[in-house]
This record gives sequence, structure tokens and C-alpha cells, in this order.
Amino acid sequence: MSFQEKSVWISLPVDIGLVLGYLVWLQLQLQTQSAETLDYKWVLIGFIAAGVVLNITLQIVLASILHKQAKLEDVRDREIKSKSNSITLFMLAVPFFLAIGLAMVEASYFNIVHVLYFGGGLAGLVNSVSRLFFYRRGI
Amino acid sequence: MTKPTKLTNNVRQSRLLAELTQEQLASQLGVTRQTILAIENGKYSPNLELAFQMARILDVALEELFSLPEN
Repeated sequence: MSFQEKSVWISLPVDIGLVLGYLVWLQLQLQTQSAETLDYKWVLIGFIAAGVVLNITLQIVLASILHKQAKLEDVRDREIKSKSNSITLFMLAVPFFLAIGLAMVEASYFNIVHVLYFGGGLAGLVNSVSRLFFYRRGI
Repeated sequence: MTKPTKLTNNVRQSRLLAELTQEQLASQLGVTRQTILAIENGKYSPNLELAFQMARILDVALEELFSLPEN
């Protein structure tokens, strides 16, 4: 398994945790209070920041363990990344246009923010899964 | 698992004839060993530049290394 593939495997649980962890927290909060009164902003920022920091830390740890492999990203890695990024871009268009639609009908910020967050999170997951798919099945 | 590429190749045979390991060939081409493995298993079709470099290193003609079956 190449370094780039290992790095995707490592970031996958973080990506899943970001989406699922926040979803669980949100569900628990919405059982006791309404979306209008829920103060979600700092928790959401916390999840995003934790995800970024955790991902960077794990990548640094992996690169320090496999420092010889870490230097090399070859033509196959770049092609896989490019193919997955195209799929991700398509996936990102869904929450993007959905958010525009919600803004046009003057939906609450709560809904717009969460469409963007979960849409972005799912797009990130699709990116990781599609990269692993191409590494395993081939391109 | 299905083969995603229609190209067939003789990379493994040519590499063994040249007495090179996957690691050595990968190192000369500036790619990972996993990329050589993917090419040999028909899971990745290299671009033209990589294919020509590979043919040069293995000292075989490109059409001997890669071929596209009629059907």
C-alpha cells in the first residue's frame, strides 16, 4: 500500500467522525430544545477545527513514521486524486445550490449552515472513499 | 474484481528479463512500487511518457510492452 493510500485510510475515520459526531450531538440537543434557540456555532467551529488539527497531526505522524515513502507522490496518485476531486466537485454542487435555494426562500441560517456543513462533510467522505476505490480497483 | 483497463502488457516478463525488481524499476521511473504492481496487474494504464520511459529502461519496443487487443 502506497503512502498516499495510507494517508487516505488515516483521514477517513476523522472525516466520518466529523459528520457523525456532530450529527449525534445535534440530534441530542434537538431533543431538548428547538433549532431556533440552539447555540450550535462554537460546537460546529470546534468540530471543524478539531477535524483540521487531527487530520494534520495524523498526517505528520504518518509522514514521520514512513518518511522515505512520504516524499513520493507519483503520476498514479495524481491521476487518482484528480479523478476523485472531479467527483467531489460534483458532490459539492448539490449543497451549494441547495443553500442558494434555501437562502432565496429565506430559510433560517440554521438550515443553510447545516446543509453546507453536512454537504461538505459528505463530499469529503466521497472524496476519500472514491480515492480508496480507485487505489483498490484501479483506474 | 474486473480489470479497469483494456490494455494488456508484458511489463512483468520484460522486467524479469531485465533482472529488475519492482522496487528498482519504480525507483528508475520515479514512481512507487505500488504503481508498477498496478500496471503489471492491469489495474492502471500508464500515460505515454511513463510508458516510453518504461520501454527505454526495459530496452523493449513500446508495442512489445503494451498492446490493445482487437476485441
